[in-house]
Amino acid sequence: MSAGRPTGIAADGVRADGREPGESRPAADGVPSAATRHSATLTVRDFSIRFLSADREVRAVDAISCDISDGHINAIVGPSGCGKSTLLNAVADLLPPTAQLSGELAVRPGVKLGYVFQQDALLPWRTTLGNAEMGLEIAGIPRSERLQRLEKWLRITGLTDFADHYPHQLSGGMRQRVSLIRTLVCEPHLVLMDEPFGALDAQTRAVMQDEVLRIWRETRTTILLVTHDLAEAILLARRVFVMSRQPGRVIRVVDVELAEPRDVFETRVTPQFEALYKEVWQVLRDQFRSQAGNP
Amino acid sequence: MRMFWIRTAFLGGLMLVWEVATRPIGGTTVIDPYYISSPLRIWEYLVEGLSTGRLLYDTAVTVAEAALGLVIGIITGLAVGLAFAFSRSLAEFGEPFMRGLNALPRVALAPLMLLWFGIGFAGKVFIAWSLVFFIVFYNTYTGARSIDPGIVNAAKVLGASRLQMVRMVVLPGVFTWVFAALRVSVSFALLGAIVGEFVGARAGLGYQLMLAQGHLNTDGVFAVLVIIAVLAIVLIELAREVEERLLKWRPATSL
Repeated sequence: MSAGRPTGIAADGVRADGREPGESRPAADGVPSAATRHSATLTVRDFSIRFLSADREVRAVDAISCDISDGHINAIVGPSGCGKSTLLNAVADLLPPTAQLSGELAVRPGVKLGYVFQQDALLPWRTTLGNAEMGLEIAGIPRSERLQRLEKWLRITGLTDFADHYPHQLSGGMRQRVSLIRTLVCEPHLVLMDEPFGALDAQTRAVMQDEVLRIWRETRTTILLVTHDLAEAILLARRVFVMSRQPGRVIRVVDVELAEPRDVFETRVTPQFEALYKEVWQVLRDQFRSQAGNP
Repeated sequence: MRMFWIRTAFLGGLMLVWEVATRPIGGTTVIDPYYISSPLRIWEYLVEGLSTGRLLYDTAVTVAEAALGLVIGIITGLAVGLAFAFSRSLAEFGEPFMRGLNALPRVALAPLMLLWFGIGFAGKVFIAWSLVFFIVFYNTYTGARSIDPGIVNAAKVLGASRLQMVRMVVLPGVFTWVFAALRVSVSFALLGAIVGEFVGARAGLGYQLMLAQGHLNTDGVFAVLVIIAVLAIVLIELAREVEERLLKWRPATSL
């Protein structure tokens, strides 16, 4: 229980260097969205999310602070129900109107968001190509250019031969690849990923993680990955935010210093990885324990 | 293929027994053809009716009534269904009315049909429409509300405007439901047209049916029934074809 009470929330994780005007989400409780200036792609300060229903109030996220810096993969890990997905949805502006936000959540102006969901969320009546081109179609890009831009991504992900297939004809891993390239072909500056491989089997999952690393090395897109899989977080991310159980707070920020370029299969067996895994697991385990002790 | 021949033989045998049973054997007939006609008499009536063009004309009238009722029913059902799906307050307000109207047996609308449209073409379209409209309305409404919120969120994050959301996500999702109910809609449109003709008409298969019945012409009743059966089968198979072509992205389900 007491393990979840952080002192000085994520003090080591927060930086505010470089100055740029920030677009602040208006705080629901009237806290003036301070004209803070920052360079981080995403800045979160003392940010809380509460859900109000007729008879009770649920605090989903409690005074979280974190900076998501440019060009890195960042991961949020925590027990299920800790509000990490809710935080992503807040960033993507997908929360229902019953959500009360306070504090500051700012995406740097001009930053284009992408979101890869746990469920592939493909349109069942569109083919691989039709799904992958959705974002470009919405942006009004002509068909010939859409095809041209997608060709590379289909090739990278091995989907070229499946371009005319409908989602039900694809495996779970392939569907998630389609979902991935649907997002990435739009060239977003910040990609949110909510347990993107949670629904896949262990092998497919490892392959997909490797693919994300490969794609990230090529594009250097900023990624914010939410997962409950500690190994996944450490393998992929440069910085891992560990969250407490509900109401979620950041209880530890871990900078992951592993030899680059990483390899999902090689890195996993290095002593550095093991040491990090143990370190973070210590913190996380207490959360699961206190959760089990307090239904 | 073997089954085809078995079926053909079965039907042929049935016809033969029917035909023989209506023939006088040694001065007595097993069944009086006055009540149940006979395959040959029905055939003669059909040939005559179709070759003079009279029954062809009636078939065309019924098909036109049903088709127009179907098309108008689909368009209006879609429009109102979407309006209900998009406006919570409209749905809350209108749902009981819709349920009430839908509960009303449509045959009971026949007197209104006569008062409003007389015994002409439009009244049958009205009855066919009144049946198709509610099928399409409920399928549209349910379809729009059962769209996967994950897909809606994905489209939202990709930057879809309200209009794009409707075009890319809502309409295709709704069409799935409407086309899945196309066969039912087609058979109800046909039903509506024929019922309308029963009540009062100057043409159409339902009218011919009533006419033959009025003249105690069993041959005529059976002949028109044969036409209606063939017509229904053809139209419903056509609807299935359209349905399968438009919904080819769906996994084949086997129950």
